[in-house]
Amino acid sequence: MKTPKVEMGAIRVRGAQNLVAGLSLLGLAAFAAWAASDLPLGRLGSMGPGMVPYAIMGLIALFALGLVANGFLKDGEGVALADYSAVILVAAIGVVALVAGASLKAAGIAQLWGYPPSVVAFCAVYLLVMVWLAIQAVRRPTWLDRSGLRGPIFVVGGLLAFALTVRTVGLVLAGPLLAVISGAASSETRLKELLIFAVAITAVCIVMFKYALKLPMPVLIIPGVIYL
Amino acid sequence: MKSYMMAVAALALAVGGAQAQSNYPERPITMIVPFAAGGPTDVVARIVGEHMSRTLGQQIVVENVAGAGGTTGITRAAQANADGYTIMMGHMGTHGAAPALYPNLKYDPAKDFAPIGLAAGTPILIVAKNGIPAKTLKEFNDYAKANADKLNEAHAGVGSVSHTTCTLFNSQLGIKPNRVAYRGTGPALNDLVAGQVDYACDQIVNLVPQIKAGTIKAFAVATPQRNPALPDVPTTIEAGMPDYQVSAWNAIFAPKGTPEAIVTKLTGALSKALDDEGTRKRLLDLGADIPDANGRTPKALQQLVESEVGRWTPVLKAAGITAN
Amino acid sequence: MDMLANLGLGFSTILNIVPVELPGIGAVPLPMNIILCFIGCLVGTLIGVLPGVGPIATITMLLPITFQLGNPTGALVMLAGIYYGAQYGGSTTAILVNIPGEATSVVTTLDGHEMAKQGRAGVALGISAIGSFFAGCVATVVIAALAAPLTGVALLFGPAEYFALMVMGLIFAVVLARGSVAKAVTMILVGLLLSTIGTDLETGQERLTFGFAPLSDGVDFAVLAMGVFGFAEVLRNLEVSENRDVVNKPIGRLLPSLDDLKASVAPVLRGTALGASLGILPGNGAVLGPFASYTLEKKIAKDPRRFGRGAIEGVAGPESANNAGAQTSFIPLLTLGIPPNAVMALMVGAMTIQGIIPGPQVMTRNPDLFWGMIASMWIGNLMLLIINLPLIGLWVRLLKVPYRLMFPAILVFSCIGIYSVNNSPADVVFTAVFALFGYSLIKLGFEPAPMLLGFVLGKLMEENLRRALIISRGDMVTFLEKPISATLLAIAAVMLCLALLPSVRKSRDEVFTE
Repeated sequence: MKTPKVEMGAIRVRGAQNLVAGLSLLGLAAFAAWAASDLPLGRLGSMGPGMVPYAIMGLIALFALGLVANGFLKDGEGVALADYSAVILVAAIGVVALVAGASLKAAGIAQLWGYPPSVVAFCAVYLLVMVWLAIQAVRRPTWLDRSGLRGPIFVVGGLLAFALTVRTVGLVLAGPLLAVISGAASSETRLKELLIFAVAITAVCIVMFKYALKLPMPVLIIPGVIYL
Repeated sequence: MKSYMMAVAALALAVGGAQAQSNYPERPITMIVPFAAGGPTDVVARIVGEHMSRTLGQQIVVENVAGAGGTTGITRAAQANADGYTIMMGHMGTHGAAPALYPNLKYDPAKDFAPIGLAAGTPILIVAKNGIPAKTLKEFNDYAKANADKLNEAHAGVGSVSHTTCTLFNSQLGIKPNRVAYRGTGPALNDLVAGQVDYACDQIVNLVPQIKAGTIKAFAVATPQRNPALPDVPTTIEAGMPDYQVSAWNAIFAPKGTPEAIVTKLTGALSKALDDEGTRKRLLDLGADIPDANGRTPKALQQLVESEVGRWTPVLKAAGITAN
Repeated sequence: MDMLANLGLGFSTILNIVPVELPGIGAVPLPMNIILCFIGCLVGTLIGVLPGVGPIATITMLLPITFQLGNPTGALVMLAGIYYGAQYGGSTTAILVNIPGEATSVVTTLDGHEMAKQGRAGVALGISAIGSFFAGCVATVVIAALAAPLTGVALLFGPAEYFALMVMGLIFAVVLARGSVAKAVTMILVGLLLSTIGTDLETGQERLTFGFAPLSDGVDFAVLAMGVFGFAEVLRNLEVSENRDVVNKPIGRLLPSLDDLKASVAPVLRGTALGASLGILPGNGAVLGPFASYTLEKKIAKDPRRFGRGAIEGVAGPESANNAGAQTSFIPLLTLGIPPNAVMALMVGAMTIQGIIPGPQVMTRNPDLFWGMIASMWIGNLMLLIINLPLIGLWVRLLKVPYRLMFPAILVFSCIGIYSVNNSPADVVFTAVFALFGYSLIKLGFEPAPMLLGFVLGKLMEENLRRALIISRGDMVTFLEKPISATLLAIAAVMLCLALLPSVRKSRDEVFTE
């Protein structure tokens, strides 16, 4: 089947994937340009820190425009919301967290449990989202599988949980937590099997890293009580 | 069964440990080294730490936390519990130059630590490529002034020992060369040997083999006495630059608030390590200076930190260098 | 025949039998150096095989255990063993789970992982072991015979030459692309942009860090690779439950067949030559070896379309280049005393702590150490072959673990590995961010491999460009005045034309047919 060429007066999107790719890269270049706006360019004989990044951003923008044009001119692959839903959701949580963090800071709270308030806000909202998704996994599993949220949200959630607990509580918690949370990313997971497996590989890791290779890695910390 | 009982016993001990400070140390001590394993500071930490472990009867475990010129690791160590179980190996950069280089620094080298003692210093050497006609520091001075627009200096990145010490050298000589940054000492040395750049200042340990092989030449060592590793190289005092006295020192610190008794114990263990024949030999092989008994006290270290911060801040500020 | 005498000294050092006090048994004569070499190779393989943990990470983690050995030769032999083991282990994960542990195994993922998906994981691992062994043997001879005369080569490469070499390397990245050339170039640019994150080397200013301290040293390669390759691949596998599993396929052959070997002979030879010569260059020239080899094989193949779809040449060539380069990069360290890359810088640390300061005189002053290390390279390669051929069966069987358990295991091992390199939880968070980034890139039809190469070469390219221009006082002509850099730039230009020509021709054909 051949799509007709661009008709007069009607601009049609023919390769939505390339169009979205081009627009995202334009966004990336613009974001980077904003982030680098304070960097001096310098001159050729002594380049400033900004010169090379700006040159790269310019080229990215150029190619991005090419992709956008391509999206209008040539037939290509389409897009589905489910492919990007997770990234959009995480970005939205990030924005909410930044706003919440800024208002907490304005209210005079500079730190919560040793972290900046925006980080705490991000984790809290993310946790809520995960709980909600977990409920959906029981109630509407097919919807969840099709939404494109399940894999990325739970895997990233597991990684965040690991990062938060590995130094504060130790591997004993961080390992199984990561395995169990990320396990929810697959509809084939069986909880009991996963629990046993998670404990087993964590034990293997502790023996191998902490005791065989003597890497400095906290295994279990309960403040004032135990430090392994 | 036996091991299970031991585990229970260990747990009970750990629970009771909170009040039994006099039995310090009861578990391994973590020494945070703010640079990657294998670097000069790491090497000093491991050599000294090994002997201290023997004195203290508990392992000193080195944890390498690299990043941001060493300030990442020191920031983390400064915020650790002040119970003597987390100590750190700081150096000239983290406890001297850092306040000038990092305006957002989260610690104050002079106020946020309980100094334990100075471990070792490595003298700074001024070297140049063989293609430079000058043979002495004085001749180099004349050469540098005459060829100011052609001169290239190599250093190992902003904030590195070679960078800060050469900043001081340049300002004392009153020259403004083009400064070429490399990622680490190795690549800088490569281009110096190849003659792409003209001169550099760096820790003696990196340079001795090259000087002995004649691939580069040394003008002066920035210490009061000549270094046994390079007996033919004059000191900066002999060479007519007496104010240029710098050394990349390494010293052990604990977080502020660490109990006096623990500090004393650690200082004693460090001093004992520095008196040990084997440890001394390994440090001297690195070209290091070992502090005498007076230089090993917490008080001496505190004074050193204060004078170093006082010295580097104006020099680096004047050169317009910050890392943010 | 100096070389033979020297190698004799080396092997006698390695095979030296010393009495060792064993608790309860007393003094037992043991070939200690051989044992250390074996332990190094084994531990290096086992740690290096963790997803995302390549040689640099492995050596950083394991370096301290060699410090406790009292004998410098033994310590260095063990460390070299760890290095080769980790290198090989990194290729194993690249093939099995598509996570490159370091830049040089990025190319291995392209065809190696495809082979694994087709049930040919054993063949890919086997050819990689055999190719590496052959390349290692050749590289050992090269070092023994030519180390001293080749010393000067490292000094010929200044900033200008290096910049030109990096430009050439980027052109390789274009050729790596499996799909659209324009999209590949865009990905290279994104990689270059990512490489500029962190503290600027020349001025110390922070770039694109948003004032966020953990970013001030830039993005770590392992973190980026784990995110955009490994974790993004996990995410992609999670959504297609039918054909993701290597598992559902029969295991297939464990070792390459005669036909496989025949197809690999020429790529192995070419890869070895390319890798060995690039490895001698300072500033991590070895990283280009596998890319160059892959590019070459793809260019001269009768049917280039097989590449990226499980072509054995695409594993055999780059893996040989990888190992040859890994070994010849010892040349600048051993003869000049100057470490050409991060791994060799770690070696310097290990040598200094053992009381040996590397420099031009190591060869004459510690001949037993120098030649012992060279002999140990060959022995290490032999051990790797002995250790790894039997392990192939085990690795391939690991793929039989159902994916619902496999992916949590990959995540746990990867996280522990990433965490322990810098003891930094922030690194784990970054991998999560890059996982989402890489997943979106795949969805948008981009390929991550060119981006990783851009990232690796980006820093080197910018730094050398700026260095060259500082030294030349801003005069661009410096790149054309120097014969080596002019030649390299000319080659790059020709290659770019060759790479772009087919796509130009293709689009013109399309225009004409429409």
